[in-house]
Amino acid sequence: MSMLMNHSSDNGSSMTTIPLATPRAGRLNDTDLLAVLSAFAFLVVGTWSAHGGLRALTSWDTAWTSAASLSGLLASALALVALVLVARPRSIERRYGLDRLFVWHRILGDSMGLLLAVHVAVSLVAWTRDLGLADAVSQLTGAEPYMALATVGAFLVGMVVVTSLKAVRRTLSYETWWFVHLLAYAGFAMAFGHTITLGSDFADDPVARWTWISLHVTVAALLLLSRWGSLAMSIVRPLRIHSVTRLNGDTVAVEIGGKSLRGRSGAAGQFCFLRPFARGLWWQTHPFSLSAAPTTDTLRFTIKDRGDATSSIGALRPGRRVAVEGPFGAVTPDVLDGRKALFIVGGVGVAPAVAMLQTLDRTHEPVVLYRAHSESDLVHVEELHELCERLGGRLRTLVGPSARLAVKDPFSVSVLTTVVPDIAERGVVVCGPDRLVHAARAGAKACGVPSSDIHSEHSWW
Amino acid sequence: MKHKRESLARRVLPALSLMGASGALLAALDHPAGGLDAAAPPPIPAGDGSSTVTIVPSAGSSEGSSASVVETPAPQTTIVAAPAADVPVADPVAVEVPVTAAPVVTEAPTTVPPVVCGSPSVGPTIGTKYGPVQVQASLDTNGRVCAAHALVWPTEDNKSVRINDQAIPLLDQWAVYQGDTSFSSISGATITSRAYKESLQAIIDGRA
Repeated sequence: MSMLMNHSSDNGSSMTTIPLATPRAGRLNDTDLLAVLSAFAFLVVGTWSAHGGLRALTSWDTAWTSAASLSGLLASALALVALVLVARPRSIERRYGLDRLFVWHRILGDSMGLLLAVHVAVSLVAWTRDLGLADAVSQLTGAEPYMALATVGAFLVGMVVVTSLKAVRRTLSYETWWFVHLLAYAGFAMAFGHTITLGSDFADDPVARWTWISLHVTVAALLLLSRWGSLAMSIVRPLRIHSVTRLNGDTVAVEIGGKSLRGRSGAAGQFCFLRPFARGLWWQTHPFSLSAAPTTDTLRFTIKDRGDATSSIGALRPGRRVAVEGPFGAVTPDVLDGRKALFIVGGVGVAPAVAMLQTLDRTHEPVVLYRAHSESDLVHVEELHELCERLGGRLRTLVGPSARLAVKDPFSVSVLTTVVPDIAERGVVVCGPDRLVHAARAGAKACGVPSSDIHSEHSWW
Repeated sequence: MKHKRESLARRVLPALSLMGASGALLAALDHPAGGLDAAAPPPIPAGDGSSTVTIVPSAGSSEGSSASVVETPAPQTTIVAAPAADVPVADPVAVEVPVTAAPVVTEAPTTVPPVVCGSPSVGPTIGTKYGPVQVQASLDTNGRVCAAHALVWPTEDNKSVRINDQAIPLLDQWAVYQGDTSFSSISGATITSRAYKESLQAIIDGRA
């Protein structure tokens, strides 16, 4: 414990602690994203309309086919955008955070699933009108070129959408869901052929066809380089565990370092995905917040045993190799924009607050409200005390089960304004379990903090 | 640390079974029609010695020169050329008949009444999602199709043009070869084939 404290609270004593390069600010803002998306939507609907899609809607003979084309095109377009988000482009992630990227991915995925269902149903109707149901099914599932592939592709993508529905997802472990999710790649690849050969949009128009193909190739390249390339790099150039320090019964601080850290950028408040090279762990990855400002020497993570693989990570020995992806995350000291800071944290959610405090200065006058179930659940307390003292800030802890607290709601306006009278002019960073995040956000908002000044990242995993 | 080790096999199993299922599904579904390139014209009738094939200039056909190929449905029956008086008999276009068994061409017995190709009638226009299809056909005295050609077919887009350039002549040939609508659809042009047959059937049923 004391070794840890020395390391993180006293940056001057260590000879080689150079902070990691700060990641570049996100370059794309709301307007840019909206412009790109509108242009893309215009391109897709325009392609459909230019090939007579809109005109075809006027007659029942052709309307169904036209509707099938449009729903198919839109489903593909949504899938492409959703796949761009999977690549975790830094220019977007840095501003909006991985959690929001995944929320968008989920919304796009759900809409895509819905459009896919419409596409299949409407196509069937269109063919049934000319051929009768039996022949329509047999033509659409096997006889037409690429349609057997497309049918199986739709089945796979459908399974991916179904397993991601909240009700189903809840019953699956993360990895089970993730492995099924990978089938989406196969599904989209299988469905690609029929978009070229079957519709009249791309079969006859070489410009539209090559635009469509190059769009897909671009997204595939982006995924290959950005998502799978970074995964491969993390495995090829792993870091090593330097030390594992037990903080209490179920929480450890793990320091990880290695040569490949020098090339990375990262900031306090961010998190990484860890994949230890150990029996039973190498095939799963878990996100953990940095609990110290990252340096070119080490990344420190504070890990609580949640009863899954997280307990095995605490049992690993120094020297063990770990593949580290990241850091990711939008909540860094930048979001405070030089203003005074309030941290509301719960349990092991204290980690990013400790890391951020290490990089703040006295102008931030940080206040830390630290909620935990019991005294033993409070970790890094000495470190927090020391940091707050140095920065002219305050640390308040609130311990005990909610039912036995003196106040009914620790995040009510009266409590918050009493403890932090100047709350409305502070930048608020919230981190902890979902319930705490929601309660703290609501409380801060009620105290007059604009939502744009309340920063938190949800645990979407 | 009483954490039980999670099993990779159990986590991958659902995804692997889905992959297996889709592989099986693909194998079960895939029955490629071969596309238009594989679509065959009707076989050229092979002379087996007892049947004769004659060319009948379609009497009174709008295109007087167009000749129809008439084939004997059964080996016993023979069809006699019955040139219409007012139509100058063009050189009967000889159909290649690989005569293998007997080089002798039997003359038709006079007891069988001559089968004459009637005047063409125009079938109804059948709408499809690609465009309308309309057939003109003639029936012989047995009520069988002895001449057929499409008047209208989908030409809305390049793809339709490409498909139907190949499919329509094949459909015309098959209609005459089979004498009714029982020929199979041209693969790759199922919808046009379906509409073609519907229009042709209306002529056969006398609804045209």
